[in-house]
Amino acid sequence: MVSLTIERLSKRFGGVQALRGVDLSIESGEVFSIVGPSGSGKTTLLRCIAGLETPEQGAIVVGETPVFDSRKGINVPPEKRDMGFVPQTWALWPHMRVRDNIAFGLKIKRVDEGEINRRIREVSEVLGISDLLDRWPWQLSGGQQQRVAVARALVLEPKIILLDEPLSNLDAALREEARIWLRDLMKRLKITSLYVTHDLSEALAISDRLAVIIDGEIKKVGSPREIYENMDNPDVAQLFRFNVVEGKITGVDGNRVAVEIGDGSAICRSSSPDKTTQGSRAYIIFSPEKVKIGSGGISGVVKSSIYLGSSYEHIIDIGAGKPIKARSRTPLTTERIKLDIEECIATPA
Amino acid sequence: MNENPLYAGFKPSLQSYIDVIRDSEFRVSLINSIVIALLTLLSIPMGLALAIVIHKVEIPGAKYIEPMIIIPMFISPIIWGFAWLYMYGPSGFLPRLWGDIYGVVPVGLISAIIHVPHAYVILSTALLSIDSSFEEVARIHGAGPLRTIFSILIPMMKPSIVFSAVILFVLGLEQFGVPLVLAAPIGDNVLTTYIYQLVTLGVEIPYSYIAVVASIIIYTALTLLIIQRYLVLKLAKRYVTVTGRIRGFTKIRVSRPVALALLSGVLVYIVFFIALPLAAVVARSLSPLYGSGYQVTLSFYETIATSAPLRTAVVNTVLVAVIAASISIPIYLGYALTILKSRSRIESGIVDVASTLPRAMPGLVVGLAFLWLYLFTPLRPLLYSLLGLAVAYVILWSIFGIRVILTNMIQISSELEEVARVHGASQSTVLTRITIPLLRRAILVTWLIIFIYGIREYSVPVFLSTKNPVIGSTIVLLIGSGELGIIAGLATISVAITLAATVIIFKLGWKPYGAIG
Ligand SMILES: Nc1ncnc2c1ncn2[C@@H]1O[C@H](COP(=O)(O)OP(=O)(O)OP(=O)(O)O)[C@@H](O)[C@H]1O
Ligand SMILES: [Mg+2]
Repeated sequence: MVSLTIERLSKRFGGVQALRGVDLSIESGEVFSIVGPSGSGKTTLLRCIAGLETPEQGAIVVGETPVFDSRKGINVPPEKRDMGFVPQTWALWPHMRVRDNIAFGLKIKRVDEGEINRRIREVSEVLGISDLLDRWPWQLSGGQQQRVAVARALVLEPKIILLDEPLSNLDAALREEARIWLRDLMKRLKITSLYVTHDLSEALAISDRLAVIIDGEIKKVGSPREIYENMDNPDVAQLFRFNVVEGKITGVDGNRVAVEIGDGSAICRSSSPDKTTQGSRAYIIFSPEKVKIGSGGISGVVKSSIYLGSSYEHIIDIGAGKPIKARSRTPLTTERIKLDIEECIATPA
Repeated sequence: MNENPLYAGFKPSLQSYIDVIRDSEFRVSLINSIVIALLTLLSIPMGLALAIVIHKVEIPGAKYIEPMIIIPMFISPIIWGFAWLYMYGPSGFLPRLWGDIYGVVPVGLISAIIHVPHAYVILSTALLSIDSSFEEVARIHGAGPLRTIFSILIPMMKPSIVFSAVILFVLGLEQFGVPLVLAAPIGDNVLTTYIYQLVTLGVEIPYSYIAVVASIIIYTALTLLIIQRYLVLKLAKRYVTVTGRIRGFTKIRVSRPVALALLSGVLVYIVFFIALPLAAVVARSLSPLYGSGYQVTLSFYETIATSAPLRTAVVNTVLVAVIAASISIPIYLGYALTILKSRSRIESGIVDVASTLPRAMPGLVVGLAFLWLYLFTPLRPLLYSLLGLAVAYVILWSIFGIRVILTNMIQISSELEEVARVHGASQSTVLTRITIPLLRRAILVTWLIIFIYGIREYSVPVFLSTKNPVIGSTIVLLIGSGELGIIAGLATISVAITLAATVIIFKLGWKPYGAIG
């Protein structure tokens, strides 16, 4: 169990700046997710931590030991970083049986035969793959292959385990099941885990804390709840399917501000009260759940509605630039409606 | 039919096989061929090392080095035989640098060296198809770069290594050019030179005997190739794993000294085994003497230009290559389209199986087969004609060409169908407006490859172009004449044309991967 600290990490590929000064501090034993849209630099960050890519700048410290430091010229090769890795494709070596796949890293470390067998037995019991040890990778189902890939990383008892979208090759039902046992497992073994995914619900379900990366920059770090309840970054908000509209601040009272939206207004919490001054423009961020339809001071026109199973989601034009999303239990009967925003955050534009 | 001289003494019986096997000269030739075939397998470790260094290690200039590794494939073994003779022969520019180059073992080693490109291409195809995450997991789980190469990469290439081993063994077994130059003259025959000797030296040509020798080669090669197909299919099934979104292909970073050391190794290979021998061909074509007596003269080229048979050979070579390449395109294209349209598994299966046939037959035997075909069928007008030779080429290389076009077609076919459906275009409109324009590059590449093969070929025309010589067959005929300067001149012309065409192919962005196989 060990912590992982990343300082001002930058990496560019030709003309693409994949990471722009990333700072992160992951506590020991924590399950930490990196989420972000496609091409935001998640995989690049993971690969830099693993030592597969060399950043131009910054430092990576495992516990107290720097494994990379651009200033001091430290760059420990991947095989010396003592990590475990589960790639997106699982990459089980096709020329080795399951047992040999799992044993590979231990053999390199010259662990003795008895200990290897003991550890394989232990890890395969935990992962429920004891019956599969003598099979070839091509004789396994997707879910089984994924477990073997996890076993192969865990058997090394690494300081840190890196997972790059390990569930994305599973079908939806299996994926939901897998994320539960995966989280349980990592918490039980108290392994510091770095989990990369672009699936937000997966990140929320699996992690103690998560970081949102957009365009190579960390925009937000916190527990799923902290992030959800302090949604004050417009880019992150859009990623999490919050509504983001622009409006003018018409009144200030401490950290609460009144904002003009469409033909009405809303009272929001200000993310930075010193900047959201009277008359300035602000982004108003609110969840679709916090839109109360039926009465209120804002009028809107329903553009479309879809049925989600337990509720309806509507796209409503309130004359504030982009239409907003809102939910209701029952279908709407009229096109022109009134609504209210119950809870929102205002952040300077 | 028995009145025909070619069939005189033809007894289709087991007895002829027994006769052949009892013949000690045949047995020695067979053993020599097997020795050469086994030594040719050394091209695999060399090709493997080159493939790994070029594709897997960050070395400077890899992009420029790769064509130089591949080019030798396009130059005929007989020219390579002379190239080694001119450079490293007893009276060459660097005499005996590698020791004696005459004899079965040196021929086997040279055969290995000139087949490195074949191994390189097959193994590169395999290497490039391995997703990098297999190595990356190994690295992160504690394996260093060398360990990763030996425990992960090379074992994962096993199916291709088996595959290339069989092909290279067969190529070695059927080797004709190098032994003709460097083994036969000192009395060491191999199977092909033995057949050649039987045809050319005997007063009466023992055709039935030749047929038996040839069929033994073909059976052996065919058996090996069938076993290979089976093994590869079996292995390939196992080696298929999940493929998600493939991450791509990353190289191993090494320190500057290591990169430079590897680069020098590759350059030493290119300089000593490719550049110097070829330079010797050019140099020898410009001077009657090596070493201190060296003086530049164009006299050999003047002879080639003025002597009617030699000049004709040069012109014929280009003509045959152009004719073969040009008639091959509509035929291959038509055939590929038929296969694709009928979506017949059987037919593509046949293409697959039949693709091994040309390899199972030495060029000399193919030449003989066509000679007989033209002699005894209504195709007689083709006998000894340039068109007849070109037809032989087109048929011989058809499977290869059809594959190149088919591979390209399959890549575009689904979109093609969609376009056709949506826009309601007729089949023929789709063909002329979409398929063929999209295949333009593939067609051009196929044309150039058939052209290069046409320039290069030396064994098929030996019996087939008696009245219309080409460069390859002329060089074969000149062996023993001592006309080394003329041979060097002809070889230089052949290599120059080949290189020009090769440059265009590489400029077109062609990669040979998957081409053999
Ligand atoms: N080897 C490379 N060469 C050039 N550009 C690269 C390379 N690897 C990544 N990039 C670029 O860096 C940026 C970040 O890529 P990265 O793979 O880290 O994204 P990601 O967040 O993992 O995306 P996804 O969710 O699609 O996997 C992208 O713009 C990508 O095109
Ligand atoms: Mg990624």
